[in-house]
Amino acid sequence: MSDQQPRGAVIGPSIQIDGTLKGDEDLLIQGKVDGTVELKKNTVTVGESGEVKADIFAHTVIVEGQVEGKIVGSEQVVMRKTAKIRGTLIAPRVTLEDGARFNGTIDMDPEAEAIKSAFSGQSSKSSFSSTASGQASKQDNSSAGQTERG
Amino acid sequence: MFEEHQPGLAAPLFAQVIGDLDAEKRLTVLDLGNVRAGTVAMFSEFRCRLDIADLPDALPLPRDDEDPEVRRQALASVFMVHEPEALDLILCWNLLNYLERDDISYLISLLAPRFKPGTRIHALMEYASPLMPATPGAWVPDKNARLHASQVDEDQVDSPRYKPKELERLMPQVKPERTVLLGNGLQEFLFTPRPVSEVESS
Repeated sequence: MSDQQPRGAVIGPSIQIDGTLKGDEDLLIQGKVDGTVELKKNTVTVGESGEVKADIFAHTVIVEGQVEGKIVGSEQVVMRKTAKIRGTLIAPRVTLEDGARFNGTIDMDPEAEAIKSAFSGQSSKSSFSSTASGQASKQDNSSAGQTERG
Repeated sequence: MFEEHQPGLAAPLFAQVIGDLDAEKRLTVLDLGNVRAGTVAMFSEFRCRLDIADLPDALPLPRDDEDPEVRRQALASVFMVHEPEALDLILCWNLLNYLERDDISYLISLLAPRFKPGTRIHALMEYASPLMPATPGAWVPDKNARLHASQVDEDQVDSPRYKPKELERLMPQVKPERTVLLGNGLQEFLFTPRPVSEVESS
């Protein structure tokens, strides 16, 4: 289970949702979701019992369960050791616990087109648009490295 | 991530590869192994797209003597999730000994469409011991480009100990740029693509 007590909505383990999820609060997914999850200003946590076949767009994405699809975090994506992910992961900061299973792509290039387009038009102090210059990008990535080694 | 008393394995060719990378240019790296925090941390210092194949998770490849395609499909499936962007660097750390000869040839044929001039394959192979861990472990780089072994299986099996000349024959699409014998029974390889005309005439 997540170390952080969720302050937002919870999709319980017996719940299955097909379609698009949107909102303005944090979300913990312990059930099954097929489709798209868009909470671009919030944190989405896929709990240990969560099974998501969806593209996820959020400020922060924490994965403890299973995800198949694209995960885009404008701030960061965290893969816990219980995570099993197949797909594409796009974020300026990626934190990984050894033991996580991953087959796919981790795109940490702040100037990649996929990153710019995912959060275009969103104003956020940590959005990708604010890391457009090479120097800013390098600073962001350096901090990610320090986090990993912490 | 690693304590000072764990010096890790000095891998001069890997250190050379990392030193040659341009931090200002987009970099596409394919790690054939499983995802490790140290690898993500190392390449997060670059404008990097990091593809993870997690080949160990697909091993041993299924065997069906009546349908050899089953084995090929299992190998191909680890790459299906990746968009075919040209690769700057491929990491292949102690995995080739876990593949049969035909698998190695098929693996390189799967990778070849993503080669470009300057693509490099960095590989580690055990050469000294007739035995190797029963399942592939993980190698993790630190910030000094030294490599650390983890998840080492205590059970052992016979090692095929492919020789460099045999690898060249199995992988005609590439040629060795440099090889280095390391002190602990491992050999380090740096391969680069052969020109297409050279491959076709071989």
